[in-house]
Amino acid sequence: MTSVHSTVEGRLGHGVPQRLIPAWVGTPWAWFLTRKLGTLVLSFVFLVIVTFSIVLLIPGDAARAAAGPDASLEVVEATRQTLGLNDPVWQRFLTYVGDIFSGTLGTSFRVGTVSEQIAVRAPYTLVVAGASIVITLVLAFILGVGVTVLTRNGRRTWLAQAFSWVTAVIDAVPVYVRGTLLIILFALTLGVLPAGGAQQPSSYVLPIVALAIGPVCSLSRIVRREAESALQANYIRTTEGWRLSGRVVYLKYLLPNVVTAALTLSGLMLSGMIGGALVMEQVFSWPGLGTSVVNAILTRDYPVIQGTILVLGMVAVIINILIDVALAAVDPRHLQSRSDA
Amino acid sequence: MNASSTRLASVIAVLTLALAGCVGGPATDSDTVRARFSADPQSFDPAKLVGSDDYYASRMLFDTLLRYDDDGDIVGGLAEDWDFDASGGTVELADGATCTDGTAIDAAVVAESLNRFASPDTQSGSKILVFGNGDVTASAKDSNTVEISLSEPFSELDAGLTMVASGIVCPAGLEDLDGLSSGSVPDAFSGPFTLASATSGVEYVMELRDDYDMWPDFVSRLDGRPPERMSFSVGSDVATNANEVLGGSLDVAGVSPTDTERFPNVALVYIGEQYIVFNQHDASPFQDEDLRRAVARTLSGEAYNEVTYAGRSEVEYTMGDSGMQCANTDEGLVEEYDREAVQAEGLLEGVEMVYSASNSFGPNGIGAEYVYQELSDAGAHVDYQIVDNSTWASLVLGPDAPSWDITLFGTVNQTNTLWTGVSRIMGAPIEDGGRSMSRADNPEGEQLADEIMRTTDQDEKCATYQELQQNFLERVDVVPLTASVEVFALADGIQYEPPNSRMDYTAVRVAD
Repeated sequence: MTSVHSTVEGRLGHGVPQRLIPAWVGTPWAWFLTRKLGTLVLSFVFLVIVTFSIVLLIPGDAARAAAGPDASLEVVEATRQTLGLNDPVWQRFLTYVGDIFSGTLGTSFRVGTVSEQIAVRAPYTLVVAGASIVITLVLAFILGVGVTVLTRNGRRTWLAQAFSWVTAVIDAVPVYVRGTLLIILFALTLGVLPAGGAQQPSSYVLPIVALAIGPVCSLSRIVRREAESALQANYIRTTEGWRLSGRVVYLKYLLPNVVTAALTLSGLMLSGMIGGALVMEQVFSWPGLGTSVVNAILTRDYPVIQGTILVLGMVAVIINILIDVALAAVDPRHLQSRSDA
Repeated sequence: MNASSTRLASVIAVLTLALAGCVGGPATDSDTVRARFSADPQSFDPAKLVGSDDYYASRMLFDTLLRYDDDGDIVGGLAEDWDFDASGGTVELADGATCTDGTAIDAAVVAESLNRFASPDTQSGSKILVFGNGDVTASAKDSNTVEISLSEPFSELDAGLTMVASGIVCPAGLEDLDGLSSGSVPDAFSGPFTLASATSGVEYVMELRDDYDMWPDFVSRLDGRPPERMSFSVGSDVATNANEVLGGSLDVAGVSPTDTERFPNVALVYIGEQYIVFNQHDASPFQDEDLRRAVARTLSGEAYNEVTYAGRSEVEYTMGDSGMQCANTDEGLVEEYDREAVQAEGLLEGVEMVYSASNSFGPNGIGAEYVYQELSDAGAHVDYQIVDNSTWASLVLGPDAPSWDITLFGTVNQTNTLWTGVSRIMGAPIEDGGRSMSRADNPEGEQLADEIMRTTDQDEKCATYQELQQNFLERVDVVPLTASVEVFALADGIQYEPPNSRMDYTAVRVAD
């Protein structure tokens, strides 16, 4: 079997004096992070090209949308010129790339720069998505491991059945239906929470719950399955043979082994949560990036469409990379590329 | 239950409480009315308004020289008296009007604002509706009198000057046009409210001016008091709006016409009109008047009203509602509905047509769907293009005449005149710089339209308008359907009587 170290040294060993190579260069972490950086750069290039290209495919005339339905063709043409829509495609692409690196992400066809609009909207999306992610990770592990422990060795079969049914049903309900049900219950029936908008702190509760409750159910089912498998493993039996306390067994030996598999899946799940947040924003009239990009599509505000999708895409990529880094920290076997492994 | 399950249950209970229980209900503040824009206003420059919410916001911020009152009559706004003919006229300003910064709104301020609005450099899409096609010159005759000269006859100047696009921008706004557009010039405003804050997509706060005293008589008579502040959040989902009004987190919001029974307190607002327009270009089947007539007989205004507005709108018999000046109310001028006869006679059997429509009429575009279904049922071969509003506008209002044959058209009639619709079927076609999308060969109608533009006597004008309406309805250049309406749900304690059934948030009142 080839070790991680020998693989790395083999890659660097030709023609470079060893003394010129910093000690960290050959480490598995350096190669791992380099690969991830490469992924980040390639994803960025891909997203830049895709976001530029998609607006070319959107039907309709952005100049007409900006000038209004009553504007004469002369005014529409002048607007088109002002917005740079008569420029050749290559020139518009260069302008777009220049705007990205200038940090403005372009100028909205309406008001202000795209980065200003994203700066206003992003916190609303990120707070809801971020809170949902944290709640998902915490609750899913508590519920998954908790139910596994409580139902271990055939105890409390009713709990195992109830857990399976409830989590399956909730997970099967789409986010917009979950949101609507929550509105009916907490806003219209009980009257304790606002049905939408973001005017007050309590407005955050229902969107976060609507977004998190599905992933909590699906991830807790995965955690439970992983925990059940781990509890059958020899190392757990050994720890019990040592008569260690339950807390030590579950926290020190069971949890780290469950985390690895669950985190791998949670990367995909959390990226999906960003998409779910965009749907949720429509249900709750939430002023985040989702409603921003939908309005931009309807009004043909190309720079806002491009900039917002680019940022959301990069957030999803970064979340997945962070999950990979977390996995590598928990289990160093993940430092190897798949082909090495 | 053993100790470990108790602990687990406790953890879950605490988290659930943290998520749902430890928060307050909807906030209320009797000085603030919470309303909702369906989209961000694209500009606060009245000359550059595009969407409905642009108009609604600017109506609060900028006063116009003239206004419509609650009976549909034109009354003074910033103007006290006016005298117009087809080539322009004079406006006497009311005393005491000021900008936010205290600058007196005198003739020079008004003239400067109107000249900038009408200037070709401003490229306002609304200029043609306010002043007509020609050049415009506004000048201060004395400190209180503005003289307006039009190079081409236009008899709708009084109605045009009610349009918020002609709202008076104060000197501070004209000095900083970018700031005016973004709403960041607090001294630009001439209306009852100022823009206290604008956060895109989140909230727009309008505050009532302490020194404002130019309320028109009909607004002064409204019960209740104007809100000190109006806070507009942004969201387009009418179902969420309805839930929020019921839940207490909104005071005024647009809801679906099918939702109105959930609310004891609603206001109906007319936006414009909806009708079928035929493109009569050289290759269109609708150069044939018999085919246009057959289409008209397959469509029912009542049925359209039912599917699109749950019967809450008004069926129209011209390109305007019954309250509009000079509007035809004679049902006999409109083609009689008889879809069975059209189908039995096969009048539309096999006729190929491109039908272009926006999905903005009724829930999920059901209005457009109704028209398509009737045409298909009559045997027509319909190339059905249902698209969003922007794509529809690009197709139908663009220069490419043969791209469509028949469309469902909806106006946003800010001037509340027949002319807004009539100018879409008369005069120069769009590709020649005009507004006509029908490209109809109708010299008699053109002659009547020209007479209307030269007539300032109201009775004479209405008589000519009646002839013109008879002309285009008999030719079936259009098929009138209904008024475009929006329904606004109101929370308890909020009163809103839209003047002349037109959107105007300055008429919202709080009942103490």
